[in-house]
Amino acid sequence: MKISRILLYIILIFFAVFYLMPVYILLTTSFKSFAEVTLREMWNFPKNFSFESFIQAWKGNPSRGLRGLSQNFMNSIYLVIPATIISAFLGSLNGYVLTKWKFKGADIIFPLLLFGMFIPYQSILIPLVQVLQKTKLYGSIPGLIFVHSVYGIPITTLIFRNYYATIPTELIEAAKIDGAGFAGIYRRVIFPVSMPGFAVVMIWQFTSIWNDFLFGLVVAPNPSVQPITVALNNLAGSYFVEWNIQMAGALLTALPPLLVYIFLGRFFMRGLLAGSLSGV
Amino acid sequence: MKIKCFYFCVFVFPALFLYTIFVIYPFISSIHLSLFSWVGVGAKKYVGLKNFIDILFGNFKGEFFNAFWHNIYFFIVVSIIEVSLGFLIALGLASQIKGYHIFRSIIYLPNVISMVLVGFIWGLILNPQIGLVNQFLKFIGLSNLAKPWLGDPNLAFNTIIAVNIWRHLGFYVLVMLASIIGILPDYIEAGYIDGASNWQIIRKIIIPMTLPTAQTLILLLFIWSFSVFELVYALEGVQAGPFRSTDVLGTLFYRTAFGGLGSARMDLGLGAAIVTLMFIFILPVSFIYVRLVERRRQ
Repeated sequence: MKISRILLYIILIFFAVFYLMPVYILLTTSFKSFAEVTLREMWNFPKNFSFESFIQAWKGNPSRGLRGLSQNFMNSIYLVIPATIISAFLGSLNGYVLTKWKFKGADIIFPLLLFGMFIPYQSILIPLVQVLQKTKLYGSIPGLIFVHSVYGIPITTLIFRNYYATIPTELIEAAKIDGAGFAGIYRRVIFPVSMPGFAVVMIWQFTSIWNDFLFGLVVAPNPSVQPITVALNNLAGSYFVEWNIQMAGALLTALPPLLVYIFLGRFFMRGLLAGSLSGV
Repeated sequence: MKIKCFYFCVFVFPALFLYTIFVIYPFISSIHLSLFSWVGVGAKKYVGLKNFIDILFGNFKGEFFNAFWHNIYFFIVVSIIEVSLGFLIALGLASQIKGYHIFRSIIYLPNVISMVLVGFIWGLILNPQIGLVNQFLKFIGLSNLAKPWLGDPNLAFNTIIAVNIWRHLGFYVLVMLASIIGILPDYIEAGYIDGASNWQIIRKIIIPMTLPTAQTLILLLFIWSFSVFELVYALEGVQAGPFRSTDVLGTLFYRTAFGGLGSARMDLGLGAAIVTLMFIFILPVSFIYVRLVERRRQ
């Protein structure tokens, strides 16, 4: 092996360690019991594994006024599943219409959609709250589902548009000659080959909706409907909660996207490298 | 193929309708609000361009430009480091390395963790007393380098930038990797047959062919740099301390529109004016980006 090759491995391993260190800290601290959490030994490996911190972070401790994260965890689940599915479907339909059909105004609609990706979230927060209040969706999980579905449209449309551009138009023409209409073509030709596209879009949407903080913070002021990221920030910000419980809460928050990434990340990477990023 | 009106109404209209209500309308209404003074309750008072004059020339100038230059600084540092480092790591990964999949997955990993969580973990690692960074520096005998990373006004913003790079680098590695993999192997083979060295291949083939990707990434980074918010909020709070040394337009807007201890002024109209200005900076760049994407498609 050449020197440069060895050097490359050393650099990459250095990066890998640097990247995994926070994960190590998250894992070790959250498996410690309170007795073991001292400032001096913060970074040591736990001597005996304990799920005590997780139980406290999940259930809370009413006697000390500590709210558990279980409700917020479920809020995030109820929120992320419908919002991911809805935004993926809307993106798929939009992508299909924009690549395979012609209609007046198509040239305006796509740039307008892309535009939505660039509007800083902050810029629409004030009127968004007003719209949600008028539609009685403010401060509720359906409200958050709505907001995330709609704000997902630009990115999901972009990814599906890139993806559907690779489906030959002849295939559509052939289906049309066979008598398939707009919906038929989508159902029989487009949708069945959409799975790699759906994999990328749904993983992307799942992680970004789960990890969202700003919308949750502004749209759900009531703790009982807050998503887990907002609840974690409150938990982590309080001085009377022990490190190990904060860390366990952090791990609970990170778990769903991490699991999705660990088990489905292959499809995501494959899809991204195969051209979903070609618009970038 | 032309689309029938019925299908347009059933399949495209709902998305467009929602999009208009939740994105386009709030956006326009936000610009409209910037002409008013409003504390959130009671009547709005029409003030014309006063908010903008206050921000650009008046008593809000200091707060605004402090935050604005932080956004610009953020953009410059982050784009130089992320694009070049992203390219170098992608290049390393693309050179048929063992453990390619593992390295690729590890470096993308922070992208799937919530920004709030990233802030929380790094807040602990950088803690001046118990943080791993300072303990490590003391351990190797460099205790004079152990600093209050997030508490020193001269260091805090650079520290936030470093954490931000840790979180996002994987995305840039992946995009650059896609771009490098996309180069036809024939070009590189032809180069080697002509006797080119590795260095020449990188300089004459790989860099020119990945340059368009780097370009679009920098455009996107410009746009994203103006919406930085969560990391500053998670590490330094809405006050963007110490002494506003980490304030960005995102946190300034949040303080102005939704309040918070020690806000210079609380006014939704003024907040709306801040984001309107943000959008005015972003607008030309997003036009260039959209045109670039459209042109590449043809």
